Amino acid sequence: MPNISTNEFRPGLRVLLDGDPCTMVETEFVKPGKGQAFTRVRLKNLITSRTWERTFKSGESLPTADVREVAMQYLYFDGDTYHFMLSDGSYEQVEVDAATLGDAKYWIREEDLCQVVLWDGRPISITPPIFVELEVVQTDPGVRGDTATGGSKTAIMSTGASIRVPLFIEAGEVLRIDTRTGEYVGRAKG
Amino acid sequence: MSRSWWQPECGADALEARAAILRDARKFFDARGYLEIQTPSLSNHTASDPFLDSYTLTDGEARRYLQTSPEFHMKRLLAHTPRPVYQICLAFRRGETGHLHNSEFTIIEWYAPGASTSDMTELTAKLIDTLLKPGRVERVSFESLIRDKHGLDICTCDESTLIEAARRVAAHADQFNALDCLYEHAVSDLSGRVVVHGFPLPLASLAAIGHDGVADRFEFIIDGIELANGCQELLDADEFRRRVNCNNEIRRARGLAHVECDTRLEAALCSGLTPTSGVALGLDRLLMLKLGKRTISQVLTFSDKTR
Repeated sequence: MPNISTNEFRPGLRVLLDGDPCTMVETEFVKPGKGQAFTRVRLKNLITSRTWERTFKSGESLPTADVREVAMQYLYFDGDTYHFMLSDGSYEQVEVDAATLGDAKYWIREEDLCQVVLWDGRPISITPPIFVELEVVQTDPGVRGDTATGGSKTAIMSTGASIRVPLFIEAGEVLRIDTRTGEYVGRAKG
Repeated sequence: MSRSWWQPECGADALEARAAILRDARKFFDARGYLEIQTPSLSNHTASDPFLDSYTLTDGEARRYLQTSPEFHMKRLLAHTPRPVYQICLAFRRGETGHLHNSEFTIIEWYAPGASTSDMTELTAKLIDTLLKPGRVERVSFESLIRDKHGLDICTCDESTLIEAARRVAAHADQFNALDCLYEHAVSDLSGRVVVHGFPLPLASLAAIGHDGVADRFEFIIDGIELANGCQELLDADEFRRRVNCNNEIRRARGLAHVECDTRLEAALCSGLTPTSGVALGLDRLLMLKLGKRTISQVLTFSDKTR
């Protein structure tokens, strides 16, 4: 990948820093008095999601990172890794380990469409659909009038996720969940 | 509020405030006996500072430079006729685009033969009181600013300690820029109006060296933004040439173009310049502060991004 110089730094640019792919969040040109100009950059590490600040001399450059975001369908779990397939008709597949998948594994079901970030063709992060519909496999029977727990109880979903649901929810029901917060939204319609 | 891609960036408020500042600045200097002058923007010579990049033009075989400040011509004028003068002009610096920088910007620059840097800080404060609003000014030396913010004594510490301290605040710090990094970090934290004075020799530029062994130069900072800088002008022609040579050595080491010594300015200094202090103030930044704008493009009709 080509190198990119400080005068082309801009938010959204994806570069390699200390070996990791990063995206630039904010860039600022600084020139102290009679001194040497530099560029202050806030970057987000695409692997760890951590944000940090670095300064670069004017004229310094960084290698750009081959990072692209693609839509992929979740196929199956083989007991070791998770298999995804490009949804562009190419049938190209990638394998994702549990660590990379992170919490997304609690939300996805086979055939769900996810956003996958590929770095040099390798998956580095998976974002599940914002809303998913999952079945309750286990929850205590609702107790009328029990307000001590704030009117909610724990339910275990078919994927293994554990979420807070209202007292009237029963096992076997299908619920709509916001994967960004892991919160119950309502009963699935239809 | 959306703006079409061809439209000016600033609003009517900035146009009117700029016109008012130009009027008031002229009134301020005229009332104090300063003569408004004009000097060329295009010249055969330019500043040799290793961190200033001039726009160059070719004129047949010859090379010309857009001026990074009107300093050289104004001093040649003063060497001939010593009298208080001021100029409001455009200056050009290649590669300087950012929220506080535009490669073409407006400078108010003035010189007063016989004045000291403390006379000039006072006059700068008065000008800012007039153009902005009255405010209290603090004074701090470069050395004590660095000591307060970084716990470092720049007079006694060795180079590696200096670079190490600078690395803690800026990853790109090295032997050429460690002082700049420490200074920038300390200045960006300042609030209110602060005059930093007495700069170490590597940051002397064309200032005379004072009795205390540091450059008799000051920067006027408002809320962490460098608004103006002034100095007691260097009079010694030999020292002028020595600094140009020194700048060119740094330029060579950094792979930058060589800048010929301005022999006309050197000759003017040889003929004798009366002890003089001068100040340059960034008018666009003053306008930003006046209107509470965050970026310089909000006070420009058309900035580097839309010109």
